[in-house]
Amino acid sequence: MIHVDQLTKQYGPTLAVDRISFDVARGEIVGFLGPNGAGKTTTMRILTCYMPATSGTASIAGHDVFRDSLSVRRHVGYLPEGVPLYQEMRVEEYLRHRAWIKRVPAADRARRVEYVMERCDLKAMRRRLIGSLSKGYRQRVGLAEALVHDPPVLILDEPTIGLDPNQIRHVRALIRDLGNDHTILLSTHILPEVEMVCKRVIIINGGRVVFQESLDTIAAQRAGGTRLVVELRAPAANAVAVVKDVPGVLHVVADNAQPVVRLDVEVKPGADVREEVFQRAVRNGWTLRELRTEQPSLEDIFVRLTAKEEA
Amino acid sequence: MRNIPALTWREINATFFSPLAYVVLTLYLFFSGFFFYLILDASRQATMTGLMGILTFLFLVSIPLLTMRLMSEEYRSGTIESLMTAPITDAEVILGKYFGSMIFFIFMLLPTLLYVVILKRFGNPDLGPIFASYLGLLLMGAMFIALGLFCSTLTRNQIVAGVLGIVSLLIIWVLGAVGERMTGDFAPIVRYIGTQQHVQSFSSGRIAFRDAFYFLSFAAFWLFLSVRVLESKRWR
Repeated sequence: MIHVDQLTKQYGPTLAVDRISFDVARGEIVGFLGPNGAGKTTTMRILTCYMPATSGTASIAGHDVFRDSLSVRRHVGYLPEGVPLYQEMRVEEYLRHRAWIKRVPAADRARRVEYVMERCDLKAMRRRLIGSLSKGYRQRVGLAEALVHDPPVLILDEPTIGLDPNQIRHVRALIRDLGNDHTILLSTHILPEVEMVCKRVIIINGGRVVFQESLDTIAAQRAGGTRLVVELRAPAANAVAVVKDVPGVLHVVADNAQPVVRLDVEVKPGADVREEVFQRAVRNGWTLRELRTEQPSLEDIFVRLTAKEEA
Repeated sequence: MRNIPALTWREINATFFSPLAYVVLTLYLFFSGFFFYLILDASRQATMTGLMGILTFLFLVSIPLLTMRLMSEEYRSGTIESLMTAPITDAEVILGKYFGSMIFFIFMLLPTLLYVVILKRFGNPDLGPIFASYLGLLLMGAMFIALGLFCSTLTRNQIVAGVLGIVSLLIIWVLGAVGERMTGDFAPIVRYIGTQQHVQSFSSGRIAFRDAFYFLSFAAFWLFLSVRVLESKRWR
């Protein structure tokens, strides 16, 4: 549904997005992650035809964002960062106005507006001025607006920012629910949110895609465990040599403490070396105090991929 | 061009919601009524010629105050992003706003028809020049609003847009007088660009194609530039 190929955006001398490529298939919910200034909003703005790319192409539902911009805009519901809305309009009035602009046929307009208000839990607020709504409700008005023309693709820029925990839950549930009928690309800073809502994650940093994996794959890798923590009552140098020798172990780091040494063991994905480590410890007469696999969370992955530059 | 009614409708709503519109409307009606009385009391003639001069001058100031909000407010509040990612063209955005302001401008003109009714009731005015004057005001408004809208596309600051609009209108207003005092090849061009003589020809009862063309072509020119400025915003 969304196809991005070698997309680049330059603001004067600054390279905001650097040859990004990715695809989002129909019905997928994809989390778009990255530190502030990584190029998330810029990418989304290019996809929604707010600004053109410097080079590269992108298309949504088969329509090129540059050459066929109006068709793209008809197929996309967009929740911009910060949810800009007309403060002086009432909720229902605003949604009707947007439905009109987005070419919802006049006969369907009332029904569609009613439906999105129902979906986003806005019915009680229909007569309220948008300017007087709380942030959570404004966010929902933004979502309802994005949905009002029933677009196959939703692009949501930080849909849960600034909400309280209850509202976040509500919006997440809504997004997960919307995933049944829509293809969704959403950006966020909240990593557990991605794990709860998305099927796949794309991490960008410094304008480039640095990680792209489905959450199922991440979970599968975790089950095998790629890191092992071993605590032994043993001389550090010997322990490192012995553990390193175990088939499947890639790398061992010791903290060199005495008399108990702590080893941080990197294991080949899929390999399970725990029993072998245990037996070798016994053979050497060392007391094994701890042996556990450490699972990399999405947060670990995120930090590993994006923190380098700040350090 | 199908989306213009939706945009125009929202623009009219926004105008009637803003307190500024009512302030401008009130002051404008107060001054026009006041001068209508003064001129009538001094001249004892059932004509509108004198008042038309006053009205055009009032519009010189009040139209930029009404149009300064149009695009600047969208830029400032960020709503420009939802506007420019909706399936509407940039030209539709500009024209929707333009027609919204035109309708409000016509709404501003309507109460002054009461003066015509008063003249008709107590005197015997020549309706021809009055009709021509209103046509002139409409055409002039069409051009002033286009220029005011253009100023608003330039900046996110409403005050800057408003001041820029008033100053530009004043400049093209006095160009006519400047042209009169100039000699050389450019003098006729400067005289033509000046607004004053074109307005005067309408209020003296002449409907000339040349003057109508002046207002409409400049209105189209400023609207065209507005669309271009809006398009260029995407590239920044």
